[in-house]
Amino acid sequence: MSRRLPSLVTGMVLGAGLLYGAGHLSGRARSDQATERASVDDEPARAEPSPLLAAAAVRVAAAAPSADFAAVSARLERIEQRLDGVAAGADARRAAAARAEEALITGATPEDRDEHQQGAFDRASAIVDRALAAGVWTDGEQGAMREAAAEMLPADRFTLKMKLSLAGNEGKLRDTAAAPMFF
Amino acid sequence: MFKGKKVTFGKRLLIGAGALALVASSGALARAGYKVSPTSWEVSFSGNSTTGGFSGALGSARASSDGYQYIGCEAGWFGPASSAVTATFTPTTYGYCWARDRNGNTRSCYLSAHSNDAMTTLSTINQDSYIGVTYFTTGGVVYCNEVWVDNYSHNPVKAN
Repeated sequence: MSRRLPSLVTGMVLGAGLLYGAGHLSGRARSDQATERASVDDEPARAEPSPLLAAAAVRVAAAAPSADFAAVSARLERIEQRLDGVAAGADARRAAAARAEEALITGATPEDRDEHQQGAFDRASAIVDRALAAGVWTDGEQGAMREAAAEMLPADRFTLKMKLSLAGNEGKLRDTAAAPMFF
Repeated sequence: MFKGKKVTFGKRLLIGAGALALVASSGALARAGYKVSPTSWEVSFSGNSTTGGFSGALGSARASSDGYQYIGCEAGWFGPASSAVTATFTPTTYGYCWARDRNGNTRSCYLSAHSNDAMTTLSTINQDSYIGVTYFTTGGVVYCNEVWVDNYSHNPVKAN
């Protein structure tokens, strides 16, 4: 016990020293940060110790808030303009998406299709109608649909896909094809 | 006496090593992590034709033994089809989510062209994802209402 005592005391002293050192460093870091902040915040006011220049500094300082206000106001105005632009852009994109979707859902008309597209749509429609009547989608239909779909307008593909989607969700079409119903 | 002590020490050493190995191996087992078995999250449906949902893990659908199951989503984009309409045509992003269960029944829905944010969600789907989709039907169109993607470490892993 008596032999342990000196080492215990030494340990305590070292520990206290370490704690003090850490506290000192930390305090100093905080003090440095505070000084930095103060130097930034107080820069205009501490600019000049001479009475004449101090008066000038006071005048500048007095004028500064309105000048700052004007600058801030101008900046806010620019930000507002930019936000308006962004909002207008977003509105335009939404409107364009709505138009595109409407065109997709409304479907194509014979006037929209060229000869090949019309032929492909007719073939694909016949495939889908036949499958819906039979209540089953097979490999043969899947293969024929893939071929026709390559020439079809997106709106026509959408129309036929929706027919199959609805029938599937209603449980009226069983898909027995090996490949998924993608086209 | 000396010999006896030496043997005892050796035995202790052996027992200690054995115990250490046991602890280490049990620790390794405990750290294996939570896993969902490969076919636990097969494709399943809910609801009806008007409103409903479908879900499943890509890995489980692929690992299923029925030869039918699949689940996933697709994203697409189409732009002008000819130079004549490049100025007026509005390019559109769109998507579909589609699933087929073990009996060959399908559920699917369309991801609206308005759903540009949904495309970001679709892009997070990977081979080991678990996905869930809900839909509703209006005006002859089946719209996806919600798509969620779980990419967790416990998901069934897609095997070949």
